[in-house]
Amino acid sequence: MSMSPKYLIVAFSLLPFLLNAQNDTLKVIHWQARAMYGMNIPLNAVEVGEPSDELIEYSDNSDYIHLGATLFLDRERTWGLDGIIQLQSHKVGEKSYADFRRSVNEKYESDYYILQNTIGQGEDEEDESSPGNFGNVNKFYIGASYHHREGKFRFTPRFMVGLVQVESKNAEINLKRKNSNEITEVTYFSSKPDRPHFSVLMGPTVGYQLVKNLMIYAEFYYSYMHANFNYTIKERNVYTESTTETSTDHPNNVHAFNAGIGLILDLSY
Amino acid sequence: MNYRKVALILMLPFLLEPLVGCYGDDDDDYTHHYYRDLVHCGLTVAPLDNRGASPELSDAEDEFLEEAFGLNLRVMRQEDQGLCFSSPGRLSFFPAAKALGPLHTHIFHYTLLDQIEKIEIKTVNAFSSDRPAGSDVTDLFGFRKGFEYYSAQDYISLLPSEFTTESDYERHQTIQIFLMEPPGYASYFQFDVFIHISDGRVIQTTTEQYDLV
Repeated sequence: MSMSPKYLIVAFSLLPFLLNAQNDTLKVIHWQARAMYGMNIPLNAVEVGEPSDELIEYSDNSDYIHLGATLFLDRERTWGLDGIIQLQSHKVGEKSYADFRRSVNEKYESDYYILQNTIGQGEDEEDESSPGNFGNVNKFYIGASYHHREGKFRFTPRFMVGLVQVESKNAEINLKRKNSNEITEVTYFSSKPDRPHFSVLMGPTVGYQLVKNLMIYAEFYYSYMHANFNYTIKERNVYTESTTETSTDHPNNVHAFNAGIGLILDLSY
Repeated sequence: MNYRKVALILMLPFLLEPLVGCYGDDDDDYTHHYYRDLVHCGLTVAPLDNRGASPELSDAEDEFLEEAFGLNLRVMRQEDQGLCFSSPGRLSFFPAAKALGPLHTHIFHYTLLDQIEKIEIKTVNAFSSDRPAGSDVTDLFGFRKGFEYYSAQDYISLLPSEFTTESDYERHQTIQIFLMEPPGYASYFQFDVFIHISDGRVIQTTTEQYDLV
């Protein structure tokens, strides 16, 4: 029996309070807001050498902006509650469309002329003049962090669970066979609708107190996402109406390393 | 009699024509709407070479790949009681460049008084063992619209009864049909093309012989 991500999130949310429950005096609560910039480095690829690679937003080295908040008690060593909203940039607009077009050309150009490519989801199809609209991969994490204070240095390992919203688009290609009247319509359907993917994140952050309420810090973490990218490729001969369907499975387990640097504003009371 | 004045008066239309041609209409309204009723009146057929990305009109003397052969049917339309030609000319020595006047837009609203009811292609010579000379081969052709092929009847149902263009030169209907089930052997082929009109007329033409290889 597998545990739903929702229950895990709730469990981790309660963890710091359970761990601090034995302490009866809540002297000072630290609220920390942080903003940082970092890089996402995939440790494995979701590409499988098919045009559908370019229809999945989550694929490449990318930058991210991370906004976070932490709540913990004023002790040298204590557990805290951590939350992250991470906006991770990915291929957008013309680049995603150009990569898709290149990939389609590589696959079909020996036998076919490519009459038209369209990328889109359902009725939201986009043609060459208005290419794909990939943008930010939104990630939401919540979890526990352990705060270790040593003079002006802060050492804070984190373990968090969350959800990653990844867009996977559908596409349609119209092919004409060379030296023939044959026209084939190829459609790429994302087999599962877009939905948040379960993810975990773990790693340390190292901070240094610049002034009373401001710290600079660096974070390093490993993230894992359980993805479910799967495409059905349907080829239809538009004259005979005969169809063939094949399936493309992309790796389900996505591993990445992230490193970033940023500032923490401490709002203690 | 002052011959110079007479010559000038006689030359006046020719002198004014370039100016009128350059200026175009002098109507204050920049968009002009024209409403016309049309009937189908004629048919020309040309071969299509579809080896490339898009079909190209070819000469009948060319060789055609049977798997990439098609016919371009140009069904002409005329104004009722008018002349049957697909590109109405302009009664002017100079085309209107409209270089001097405001940019005018001309919208032509056409209503068809009759409809194409059936398109029939018959082979003049034997096409295959089960399609002897004179037999109907319409079903061997795909009627293309966009990236889709339709049967003749399905295609006809897509034809509009009214349409609008910005050029009076686009009153004809072009139908591109492609041989989807070629005979499988090289030979010369010739086709009779019949367009059945809703008022009972049949517009018919016979193509030239095409060398399918």
